[in-house]
Amino acid sequence: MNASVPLLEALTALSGLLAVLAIATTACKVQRALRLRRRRRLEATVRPHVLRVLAEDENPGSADQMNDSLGRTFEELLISLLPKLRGADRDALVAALDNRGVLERARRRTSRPGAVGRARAAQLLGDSGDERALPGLARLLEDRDPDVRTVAARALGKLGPAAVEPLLAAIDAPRPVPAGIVTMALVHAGAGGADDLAQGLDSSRSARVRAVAAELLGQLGVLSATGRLAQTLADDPDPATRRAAARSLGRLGLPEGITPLLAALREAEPSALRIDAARALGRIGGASAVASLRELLVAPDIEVARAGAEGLATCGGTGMSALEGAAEDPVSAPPAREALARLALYGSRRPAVAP
Amino acid sequence: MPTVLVVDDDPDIRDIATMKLEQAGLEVVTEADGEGGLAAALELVPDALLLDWMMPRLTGIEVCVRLREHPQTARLPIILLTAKAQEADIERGFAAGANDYIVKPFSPRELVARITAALARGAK
Repeated sequence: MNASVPLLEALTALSGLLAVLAIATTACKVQRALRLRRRRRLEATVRPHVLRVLAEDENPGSADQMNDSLGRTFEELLISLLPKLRGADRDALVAALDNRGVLERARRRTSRPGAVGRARAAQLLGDSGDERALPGLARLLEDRDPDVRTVAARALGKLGPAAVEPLLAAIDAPRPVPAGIVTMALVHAGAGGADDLAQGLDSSRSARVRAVAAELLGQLGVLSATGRLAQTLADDPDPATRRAAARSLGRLGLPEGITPLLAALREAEPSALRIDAARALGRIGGASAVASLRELLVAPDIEVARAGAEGLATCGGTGMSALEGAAEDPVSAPPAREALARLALYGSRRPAVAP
Repeated sequence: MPTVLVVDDDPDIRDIATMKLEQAGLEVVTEADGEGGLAAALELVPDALLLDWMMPRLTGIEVCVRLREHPQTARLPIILLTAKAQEADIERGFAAGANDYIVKPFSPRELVARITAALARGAK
């Protein structure tokens, strides 16, 4: 009898707790539903104004007369459309946001406390493509919060060539931005920043900066950088930068790339560089490339020999003939047959050797 | 007046496309998912179809393939509007029967120009 009293009390307390939890959960759900409904009502009210901005017949006064809630919702809708549109209609959204002082407020927010606020401001400024935001975003590349730095880097990439210099510098800053994030941002910035990339390749003391610059000059198709890349491949002290230069020479595909790439095939060079050089030569082609790649098939390092075979397979008709001939020669047969078998399996759209 | 069916699960895209196409003097009907889009296309047989790829219930690609199986919609101009921008995606879109392909983020003006051109080609 005595033992059942504490049990009863515990059960009562538990039931009470559960009831309180249920009431709290329901209250939260109701509150959320009410907030959502209010939000939808506000959105429905301002949506015609947003569409009028895009229809280019917006009465400049009509959006100014909105109260605070409607004005905020109007601005949030404009902001949410920015990443969905491009061209003149996106410009119209940016102009409307600028007229309402939203961009100016965002620029000020980049230096305020609160990492989330700074990151949101950076995102908006990037989406707007507003070059006036460049100094503020460049400053955020050194933000104490790594997520803010990442958002700022992506945002800067959307501002175009003017962002290349600060982005490159962020790779080896005291508070760095990951090279992969910077690379993607630089791709977004486009080939207009080629001069700054070339400058980074020539003069940066950071090997990581030089490697990224070398890679991007090829990815962005900057043909005028062929000479610089050839020089980098020949004498840069950093192996990763030399490899990036080799890959880029292959992507650019100019015959001027052949001589430095042939030099990079020498046995004294690191295997990783020889492999990249072989693949790059395969992209460019030519008689001297075919002859050297054919010789590579007997390299003691099987990965180098495979890269030679892969290079031949992408060298066009002459390369394929050389590869088929090598497959009949017992000394060079293994990598050549492997490459031919891969080609038969996957066709030319798949690399013969996984990168 | 030519009719364009706009099928997209994003209300913003539907609203913007509708406004721009109506401004260009076209009649617009909208649907918010692939199933509704397929049914509306077969029932209305519009003059052109603007079709999102990633949608609930039925993807734009599936809608495209099914429309090509019906004689009344086999030659319907279909413009895919999608965030899928890879070369392989574009190939897949055309293989499914799309006539044109617009990548998001998109220019509404370009969208109107492409649909107008598709309508003009269809009218010949």
